[in-house]
Amino acid sequence: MLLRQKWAYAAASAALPFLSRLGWKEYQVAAVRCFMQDFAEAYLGRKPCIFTSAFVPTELVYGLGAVPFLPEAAGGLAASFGLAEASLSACESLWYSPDLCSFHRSGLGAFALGLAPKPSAVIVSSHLCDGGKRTLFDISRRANCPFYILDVPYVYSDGAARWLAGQIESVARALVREVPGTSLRNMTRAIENSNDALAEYQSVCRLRRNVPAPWRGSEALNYVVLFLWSWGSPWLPAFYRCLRNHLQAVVGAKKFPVPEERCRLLWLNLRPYYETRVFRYLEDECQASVAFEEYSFPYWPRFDAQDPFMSLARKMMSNFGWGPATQRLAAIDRMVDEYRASGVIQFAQRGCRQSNGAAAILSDVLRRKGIPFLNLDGDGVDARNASEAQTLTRLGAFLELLERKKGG
Amino acid sequence: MVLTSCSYIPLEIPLALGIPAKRAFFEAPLASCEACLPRDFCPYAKAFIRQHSPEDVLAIAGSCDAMRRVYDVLRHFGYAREVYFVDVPRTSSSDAVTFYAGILREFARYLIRVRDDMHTCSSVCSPGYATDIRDPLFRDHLLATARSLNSLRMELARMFKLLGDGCVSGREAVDVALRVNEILAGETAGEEHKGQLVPGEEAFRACQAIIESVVFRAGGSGRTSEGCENGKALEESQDECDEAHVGDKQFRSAGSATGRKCPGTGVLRRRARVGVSATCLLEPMLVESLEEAGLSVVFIDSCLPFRMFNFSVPGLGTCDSSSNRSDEDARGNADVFSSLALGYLRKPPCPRVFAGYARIEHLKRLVASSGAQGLVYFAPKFCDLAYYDFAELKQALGETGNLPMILIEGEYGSGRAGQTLTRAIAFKEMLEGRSSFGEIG
Repeated sequence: MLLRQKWAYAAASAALPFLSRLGWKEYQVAAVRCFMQDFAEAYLGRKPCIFTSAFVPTELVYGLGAVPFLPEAAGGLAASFGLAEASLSACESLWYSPDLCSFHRSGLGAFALGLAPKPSAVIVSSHLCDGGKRTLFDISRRANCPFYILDVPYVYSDGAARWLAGQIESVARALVREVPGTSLRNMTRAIENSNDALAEYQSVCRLRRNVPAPWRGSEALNYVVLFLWSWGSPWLPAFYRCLRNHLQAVVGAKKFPVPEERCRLLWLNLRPYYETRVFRYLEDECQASVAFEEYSFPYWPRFDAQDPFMSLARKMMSNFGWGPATQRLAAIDRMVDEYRASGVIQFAQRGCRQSNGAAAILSDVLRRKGIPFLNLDGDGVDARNASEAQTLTRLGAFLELLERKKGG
Repeated sequence: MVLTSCSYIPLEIPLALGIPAKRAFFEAPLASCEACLPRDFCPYAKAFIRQHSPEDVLAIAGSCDAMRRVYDVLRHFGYAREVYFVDVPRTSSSDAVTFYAGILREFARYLIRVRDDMHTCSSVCSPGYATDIRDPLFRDHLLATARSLNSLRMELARMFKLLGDGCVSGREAVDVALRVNEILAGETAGEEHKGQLVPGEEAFRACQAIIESVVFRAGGSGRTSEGCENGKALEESQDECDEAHVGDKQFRSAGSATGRKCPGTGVLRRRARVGVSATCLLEPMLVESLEEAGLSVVFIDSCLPFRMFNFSVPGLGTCDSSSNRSDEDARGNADVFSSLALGYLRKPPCPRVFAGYARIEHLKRLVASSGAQGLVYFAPKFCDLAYYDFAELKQALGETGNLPMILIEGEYGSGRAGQTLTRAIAFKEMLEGRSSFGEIG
């Protein structure tokens, strides 16, 4: 496999400068460069690779001098490279039901096929979805590597945060003992990197409030993988700086990707990562902007570098997807207002109980606020579970409703 | 009435406060639940969506993604006046136990507030119950209730052990456990207990009588000794049970040659022996269907009923059988909440818990001790934890351990379906085939 070949990274690095000439933006090249660097370190075994579930703070991993790997996010990547069918099939042959979320199935299947790097350890959190923890337990069993769980209390209190901070610290110390090549020396640097990236990212978010939107939501949804994967890395602040510069230039030049912007949408949950017409239809044919996405919302406060473990605990516990649905509703309410969304679409990922289970509540709350809501059934990875024609029909009807509402 | 959603929520707390309580088992989801929860949701979770009585308190644990959303839906749409989230940890380290003890204290404070509010408009509360968790009276009540439930659990464990010996049918064991659950809620304790909202000693005695009658019919010995150190009680009772059934085992080996029936039951000795595992069995019908197919169910690893009762709360001190008061020498001023947290978090792990290989090892032990020849895994449709659990067990027990396993997915009522019976018969034939070719057994 190419990812395990040293020469492949050398060749890709040499090719990077040519991407700009092919019309790639600076932030896009920066993202490729950054991911390539992490992948090289993980696949070539230059640094310990720690697998985590999606909401384990990656600052912890970078802080230990390791690189993270998120199989469920990699599941989305596998879909975008056309590898989903093989990985899903591999997972099903391990007795996992096709009714489970395809992001988790694809991540596990990719590992079983040997497409993932070798993990030095696995850390999961009890956050949000049940799937990540169980598939990662299976991975740790197959890789015969240490498995750690962070048990996240449901409701914030000082005592609960202290308990979680204690768990994070114990896991960090255990990893230093168990995994050669890790140490706590990088922790302060990782925390500072994260704070720097957050400052840049907040500028990006402010720019995205512009009407019309300066960035395609379809592309922003691709970068959710970075948002989940890279906090604490040395290259994330630079990436967000490039992105901020790009958005500033777009706003300044008024060259908006969806120039007519007939309506602005807030997108909840993820998107289909395989080839689909959905966003071309939405953004180009219907001139509807996805102004912002739920999974790009920066929800945590700045870290205190003097108290890294408590800072990470606070980050985990301030995730609005955890805790009672009222927290998620409050965050969505804020996003609707800040990004001036005229409608909300929840991509109802098949098998995602934690998100889809709140659809009726979302619909009720948004209706009272006067914001139309569409619960759009689909599957982000498993194209067998999606019907493109039906999706386009539902989107078309929803956009008509928004148009009519706008017209009064 | 307190209705709990999870076997990790101690019934001891509401019962000690004079509030009837039980693990909630409903018949089936109402059709109207689909207006507020997705169709592809676990049927047990959906069954919680109904109009509850204003006097019901729903205690929902964060067992899984689905139950967390059920909590939100119940609150948002006002299906129940009182809904409380019990934050049950997924781990059982000493810090998790300390955390959970704090959660249980909060739960008790909440129940006191609710009870006292309701007391103003109804007669839910019996007089003589504590109004503060620091009140020594409350501690005494909690200790006494925990000890009584420990005794009940011991009795039930003895009965479950007989199930492993093939003397009690699986259906019978589930029914008894369900009746005990109902009696704790003061619902079906029999005519003499009707209207008794608070399950006191009478109710506990009624539960014990039901269990004893089954044990007696199955040819088991009398009751186990009371008032022992409860942390060890379960194991001791199980050992005692082993000794008490030597004669019964001899009977079995004699009977097995002729296919004789065990006294008091309809269970044939030569049936293929299977264990049942599930996240939640939903209803007893599946077990009945397996037995109807000619399989002998030797254990039921599900929160209906085994995981509700097959453990003991440790560290409650010795008890004086006449007054049930604590032996202060044994533990001093014991923190009963910590004991409850410890006992519940360290009971045999269910699929929601993260205990590494502990669940797999637990199932291996159950299979080995019961002599199960196969495992029937029941997954409520769209129950993610069951799907993951099955895959883990299938790989660990099925592929590595060569234990035949079958996955039966279903909703409420699927135990009655002909398809389930057909699959159970096919599984039985496969087990018999393996047995006759000397592959197992």
